[in-house]
Amino acid sequence: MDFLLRLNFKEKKAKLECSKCTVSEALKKLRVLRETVLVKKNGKLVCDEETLKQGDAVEVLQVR
Amino acid sequence: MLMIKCGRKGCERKAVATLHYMNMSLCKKHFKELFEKRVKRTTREFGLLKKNDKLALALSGGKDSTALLYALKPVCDSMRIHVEGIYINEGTEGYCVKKRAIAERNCEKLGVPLHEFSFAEEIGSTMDEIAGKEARKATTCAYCGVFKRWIVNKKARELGFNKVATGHNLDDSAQTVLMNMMRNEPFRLARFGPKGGIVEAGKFITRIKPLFKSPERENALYAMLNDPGIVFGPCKYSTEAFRDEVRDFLNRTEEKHPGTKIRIVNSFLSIKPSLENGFGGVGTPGTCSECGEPTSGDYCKCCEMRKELEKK
Repeated sequence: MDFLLRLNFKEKKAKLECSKCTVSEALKKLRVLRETVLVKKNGKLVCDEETLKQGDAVEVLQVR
Repeated sequence: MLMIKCGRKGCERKAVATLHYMNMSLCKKHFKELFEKRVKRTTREFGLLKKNDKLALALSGGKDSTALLYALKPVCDSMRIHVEGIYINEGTEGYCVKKRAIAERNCEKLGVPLHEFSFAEEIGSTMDEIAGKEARKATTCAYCGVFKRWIVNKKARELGFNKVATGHNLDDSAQTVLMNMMRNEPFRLARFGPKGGIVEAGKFITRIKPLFKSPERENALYAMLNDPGIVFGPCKYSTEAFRDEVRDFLNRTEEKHPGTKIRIVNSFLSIKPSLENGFGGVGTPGTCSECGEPTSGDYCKCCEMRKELEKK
C-alpha cells in the first residue's frame, strides 16, 4: 500500500507490505505516533479505525 | 463497504475523529459540538471571560489560533464581548505569507477585525535577520516568543483591550507542567495556568488560554474542519530541545495510556492552590527603564535581547 507522508512541510512517499489495514495499524507500522497526525483517505479526513486498502490515496499530515 | 459510524447514539454519520481517551469516534457535527462545549466549559470553569470584556485574539494563522477563533467567537458573541485579532508578522520568508493569509481569510469570514504588527517595525529586525546574526538555532527561537509577547501586550493595551486570548493547548500545558517539575521550578509552576499575565494590574494585559484542555491533535482537526485550506508545520526556526523530548515522551505515553495528558493537567490544577500559597508571591512589577513596559527587573527581557542583538 502506498502512502504520502506530509511531515514538516516535506512530502515523502512510503510503502507498507499489507493489502488492508486500519489507520491505527498503518501508523504503527510506519512508526508514526497517531497523536501527532491527522489522516486523509481519498482527500477526506478519517478516524483511526478506518480501513485502508490498496489503491486508496492516503495522506498523513503532521499537526505541529 | 463498511463505514465507521459516529459513536453518538442514533447518529448514522461517518466518523472523522477518534478520541481514544473517551474510547469513541465522532462525526464532524458531534466532534465540533464536543470541542466547542469544552472551550465554553473551560472559559466558565476558570472565569476567563466577563461580560463587556474587550478581547484580543493572538492569531498566528496556525491550527491552534484558528481553532481558538472559531470556537471562541460564538462564546464571545453570547456574552456581548467585543473581539478583534492581533497578528504579528515575524518576518520569516514564506512561512509568514502562508500563515497571514489563513488568519486574514478566517477573520474576514467571521467578521473579526484583524490588526497586523511586525517585528521589523516594532523590534527593528525580522526573524530572518535575527537568524542571520544568531548562529544557534535554539537561541533564534527564544527571541521570537519574547518579542511576540512584548508586542502583543503593548499593542493590546494601546488598542484598549483588557484581555488577550492565546491558542495554548492541552499538549503545551502538560509539557509545561512536566518540564517545570523536572527542572524543580515550583515558582514558575505556581504562576502557570489557564489565566496568566502574572498580576492583574498595571501594564500587564491578562492572558487567557481557552484551549488549555484541548489536545493539539483535536485543535488541528477542528481548524481543518472549519478551514480545509489550513496548513500545518512548525516555523523553520522552531526548536526547543527539552520541550521536544517531553513532547515526544507525552505523545508516546498518550498512545499507550490514553488520557495521560489531561490527567497530568488535572493533577496540576488540583495542587495549584497549594502551589500558589507556597510559591505564589511575585510582587508588583516595575517598569522597564528602556521601553516602559512591565518587568520585574531594571530592563524587560525584550530590551535585554534587543541589546544583545545590537552587539552582534
